[in-house]
This record gives sequence, C-alpha cells and structure tokens, in this order.
Amino acid sequence: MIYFDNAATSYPKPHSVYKAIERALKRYGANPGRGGYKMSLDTSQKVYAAREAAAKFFGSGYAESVAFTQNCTYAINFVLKGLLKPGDHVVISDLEHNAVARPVYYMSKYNGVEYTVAQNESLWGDDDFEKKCVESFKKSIRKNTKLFAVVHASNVFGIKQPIKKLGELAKDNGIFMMSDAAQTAGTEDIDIKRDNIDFLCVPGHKGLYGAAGIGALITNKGNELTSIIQGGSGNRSLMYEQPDFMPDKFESGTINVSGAIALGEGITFVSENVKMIREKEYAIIKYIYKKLKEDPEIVLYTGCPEEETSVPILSFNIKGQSGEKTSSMLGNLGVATRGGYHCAALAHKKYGTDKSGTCRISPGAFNNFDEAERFIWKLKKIY
Amino acid sequence: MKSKNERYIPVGSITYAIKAKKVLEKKGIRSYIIRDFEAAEGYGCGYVLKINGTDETVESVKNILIDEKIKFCEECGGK
Repeated sequence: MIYFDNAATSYPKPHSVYKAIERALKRYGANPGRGGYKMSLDTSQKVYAAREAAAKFFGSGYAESVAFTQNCTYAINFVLKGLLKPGDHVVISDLEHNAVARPVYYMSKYNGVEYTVAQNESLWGDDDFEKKCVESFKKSIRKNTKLFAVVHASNVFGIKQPIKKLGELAKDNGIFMMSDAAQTAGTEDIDIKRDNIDFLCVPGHKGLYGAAGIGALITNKGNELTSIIQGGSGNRSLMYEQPDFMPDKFESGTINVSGAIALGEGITFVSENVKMIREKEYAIIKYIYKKLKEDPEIVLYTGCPEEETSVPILSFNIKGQSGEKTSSMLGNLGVATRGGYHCAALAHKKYGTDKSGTCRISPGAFNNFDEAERFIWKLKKIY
Repeated sequence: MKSKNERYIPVGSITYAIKAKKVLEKKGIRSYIIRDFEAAEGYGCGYVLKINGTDETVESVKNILIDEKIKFCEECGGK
C-alpha cells in the first residue's frame, strides 16, 4: 500500500513509538497520580517526561502547561466551552475544520455565544492573502470579542494562515488566541510564547507520530478556562470541587497512559528528524504537484505547495469526478488518500469544491519518491 | 520508621511532585516522592516530597518551589 493519508493519521509510526506503547503496557501499567507504589510512580514519571517533551517542543516552558486530551477536537472544545460565556463573541476563519466550526455553531445555537466567520477575500497564491486574512479578522472584532479560534493550516488545501500576525492582533485588542494545529503540529515551528498563542490544540496521531486517542491542550492560561468535564483526578479526593490548576483541571479520569508515553516518543522522533521530514514531505508533494499540473484531466485548487505558504497537503480532482470516487478508485489500487469533504465545509465552500469534494494526498516521514511515481502511474489508470 | 531529620512537603499533584523533585535535583537537593496522606496533612493528592534537613532546609526548598510556581502546602513541612 502507498499511504498518502498522513493528514488524517500518520502511518507507519516510528519504531520507537511502537516500542514505547508496548513498553508502556508492559512496564508502566499502573495508574499515574493515584498510587504510591513504584510502578505507579514510574508511570507518572514517564507521563511527566511526555509533558516535558511537548512543553519544550511548543515553547510553553512548563510541563504542567500540557494537559493530555482524547484528541485535538477535545482540546478545542475545552477552550471554546471553558472560555466563552453567553454574550461572548468569537471570530473563526473561513478555512476552519468542523472541530472548531461545529462547537462554535452549537454554542451560538444553544449557549448564547456569538460568532463571525472572518471572510478573507483573497485566495491561496494572491499576494495579499496574509494581509487580507488579518484584515478580515480585524474587521470582525466587536466590543464583546473574546477569542480568535483559528486553524493554523487548512486540512483540505494545506494553506497556512498567518497565525503569528493574528496572535499579535488578538493580543493588541485584549482577545485570546486559540490555534487548531491539527495539520501543523510536528511540521511547523510553533512557539506559543513567541507566536502569541494562548491556547494551542494538537493531535497526537498526525504530525507528532503518536497513536490515535491522544491529543493535548497546551496553555499557560489554563486559569482562564473553566473545566467542562469534572471527575476523579487523584487529588483532593474528599472535595467536590474540581482541581483549579493545570493539568489536573482538564484530566478527569485516567488518562491514556500508553498514548501519552508514546506521544512523548513521537515528539522526540520529530524533534530529531524535523529537517529530514520537512524536506522529504515537501519534495514529494512538489513532485506530485508538478506531475498533476501537466495533466489536463486534473483540476488543482492551489499553486505548488511551498514551505512559506502551505503544509505538504494537496487537494485535486479528476475532471467530472468526485473526490470521493477518485479516492475510492485509488484505494482499490492500493493507494490510501482521503476523499470527500474532510469535515471542512467552510474550506470547500471558499474554494468552490462543496459539490465535488476533493481527493487529498498528504505524504509523511516514511514515504519516498518511488511511491510518488507509482501514485502518478496508478492515478492515470483510473481515468 | 521515620528519621528525625525527615521533612515532608505536600504538593498539589503528582505532576508538581515530579517537577519539584527535578528542580531540586538541579540545585543539588535530594528529595523523594512518596504518597503519605498523614504527611500530606490533608493537602492535595497525598503526594509528598520527603527531604532530609533542618527547618532552614525546608524554608530554602519552599522558596525554590515558590520561584518555580510549584503548588505545595506552604503551611506544611514539618517532621
């Protein structure tokens, strides 16, 4: 199989991640933060090491600023629902994944929260794309705007948004900044302090090469959020009050221990290989882009993915055919891609693909050029 | 059996306990993480930093923990 669906879930994982999961299940099988015996303490140490790795990687500076969640969507919900109260206003971008769009819509319908989709008049490749993006957010600010909730890069088209500039705009206006880094955590240089990101939401199973079922909310402003899920945390057991400090505030119930430990290994792998991963992924996606561009039967929606403007993700269609069908046919030939709407109605609407969807390819650290060539060859067999 | 030089500082959570241990290690102070509800004096999660030293040592450790924004019981720290 040629696996080009790393934007959904990276595969395969580094050997160290597989070993970490096995080791976690065998040697760190106790509950962290609940026991005083050796295995429980050893398990806690391993989980702490994973927090430290994430804190270092994303520049938060404090291990306790990393709360492990079920996935990126849960982290996003913790921020949106923990921060926004009735009457508050949130601005989201016109490229949002449903991870942001759906909870925001839900809260507007049932919780009295107001929202605006900042409409960037520019498209990918326009010289003023970044400028117009920032302007669209600026125009959307109201007196009651409390949060910018912004996807760092589109999961459909790979388009990067000017997260740092939006963070500056938010800071200048006393607004909190949340970034959905589902497609950038592990591939982009993110530093929450430098980039003025108050709340960073990351998945473990994509660019950080961990397992599915783990994500993280990384913030030094956890005190600004109320918890939306309460329960056992291993401390203050006789009190009904939920702990008010990170990370316990957001980690009710036993965390995904093996997932957290493996995520720590994934982050270590990415840290040690970031240059190789970036160069390889961009080289592959650029090669595929150039081949597709030469083919009159292929429809592309962006220019060639460049490091400055895009993450290594590419959406395309075969003329007159839905993205879902293309993906399905490629699947029959042993190529894993993602077809359809990618849980991103806003992005598809913006680029006019809300009828057809697209077929998305996303290489990862373990792909190679031979696979890219075979992909092109196989693609030509289906039309 | 507890030695007379053992001191106990209850911490807010296992995360803070591990952080405190690491911070103290870097400053050349050896500590141990134990779970002891009696020593925790009802504070936090039952995790306690055990150190050997005098009242001055305890005060010094507490100042380090404050500097590092580690949640612990400031009133505790007895034998």
